[in-house]
Amino acid sequence: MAVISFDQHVSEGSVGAGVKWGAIIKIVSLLGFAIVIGIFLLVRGVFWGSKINQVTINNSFGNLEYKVPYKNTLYESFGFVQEPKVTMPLKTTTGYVDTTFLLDSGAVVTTLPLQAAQDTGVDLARAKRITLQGFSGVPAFAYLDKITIKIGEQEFEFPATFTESSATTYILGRKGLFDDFSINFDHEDRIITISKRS
Amino acid sequence: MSENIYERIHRTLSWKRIVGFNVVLLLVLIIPLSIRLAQQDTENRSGAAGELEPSPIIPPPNYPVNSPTLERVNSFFGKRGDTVVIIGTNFGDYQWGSKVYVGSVEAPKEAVVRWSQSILEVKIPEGARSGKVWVSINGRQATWNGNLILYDSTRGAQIGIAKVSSTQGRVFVTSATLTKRGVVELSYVSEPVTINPLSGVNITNQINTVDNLGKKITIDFEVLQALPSTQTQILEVNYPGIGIVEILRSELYDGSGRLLPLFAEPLTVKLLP
Repeated sequence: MAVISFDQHVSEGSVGAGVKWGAIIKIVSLLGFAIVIGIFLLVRGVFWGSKINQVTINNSFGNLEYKVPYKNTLYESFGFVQEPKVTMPLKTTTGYVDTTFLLDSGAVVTTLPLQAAQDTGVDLARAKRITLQGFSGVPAFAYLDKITIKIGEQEFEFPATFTESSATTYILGRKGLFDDFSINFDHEDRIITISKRS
Repeated sequence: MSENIYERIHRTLSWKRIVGFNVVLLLVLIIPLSIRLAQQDTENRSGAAGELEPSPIIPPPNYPVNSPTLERVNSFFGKRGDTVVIIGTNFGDYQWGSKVYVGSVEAPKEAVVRWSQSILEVKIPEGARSGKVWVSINGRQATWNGNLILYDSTRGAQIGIAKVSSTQGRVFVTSATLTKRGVVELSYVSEPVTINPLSGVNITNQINTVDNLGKKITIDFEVLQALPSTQTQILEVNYPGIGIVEILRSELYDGSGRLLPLFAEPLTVKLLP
């Protein structure tokens, strides 16, 4: 009996460590998938998360990054719709004035109402006159010139048209802006990131 | 012999069960995870590459049966490279062999921005000068009764219309000292419209007409006293205050009958309601 008892003791000692580690590995494996997903979401939140409802400007090492929240607009037919509107200082004859633009990746060029030409000091008589096609197919005149906008503390000049169309609002289009900047529309986090290309 | 917790786990959890549990967990989480990933970052990158337009398919010539007419040229002034809109009828659906002359010279095909049955959009070509605008559709011509005026904003006279009250506006000119006579054509919506001459101007003729786009009034005037170079009001326009009153065209002539360079600020060619 004593011999048997000794054998069992030795056997329990050596098998115990293997059983213990085997059990731990199995428990970890059982929750392995959930742990991997949890780590992924945590890391993503820490490293790629963005702040909502505040404009942040990161201008470190010359890499200008401008973050601005989406604006919610209530439509009678559609309810609340997130709109990519950004408020930026526009250079006028009386200094910089905060102006809200619709950031429109579908628009070829930045467009402003004709009246804005007066504010920005654009001489329409010297500007090149072009036509833009409206929804109804009736051409509307537009006058091609430039505007200056501040992004962060830097001034940028973009081509812009001043149009006679009565429905025109302030629109930031692709020409100029999208050539030099990467624009990220993040609907999930409701944030627009405008990054200067190096 | 008592069984400890590790032994129970080791015995109960077979690898088959672990794999099975993870498969079930994957199936449960795959739907919300997929939705979350699909809704993530809509990124829009643009290299602003040139847009390649497919060449249009133009059917064989099928010219309009009726003769073309040319009703309006908008705007009546411009610089080389500016676009003018020519409005009329029976231009044909495509240009085919038709021609358009702007500022007395033929506009090359690359200057024609748009050609349709009733609207042409044409860039004022190089070599153009103040003068007539006409079209030649399958050999049949139509000429605009006005003159397209090429201007230099540093040297030209300026015309405009300013609102005085909700039912009255005044046509003014600036830097028009050489003017001896002139024409102003206004479009309007509601009647009656009455025109009165102001300081040193006499109206010699006044015609009301209608085209496909609405009512027009053409006023010929002569200058009795030399106009100052500063802004001078020459005509008073009284209207019911409904709709837009717009300067469609104007021409100023000096004593020898020479057409003077003239332009208008886009913000001062209309009386808005």
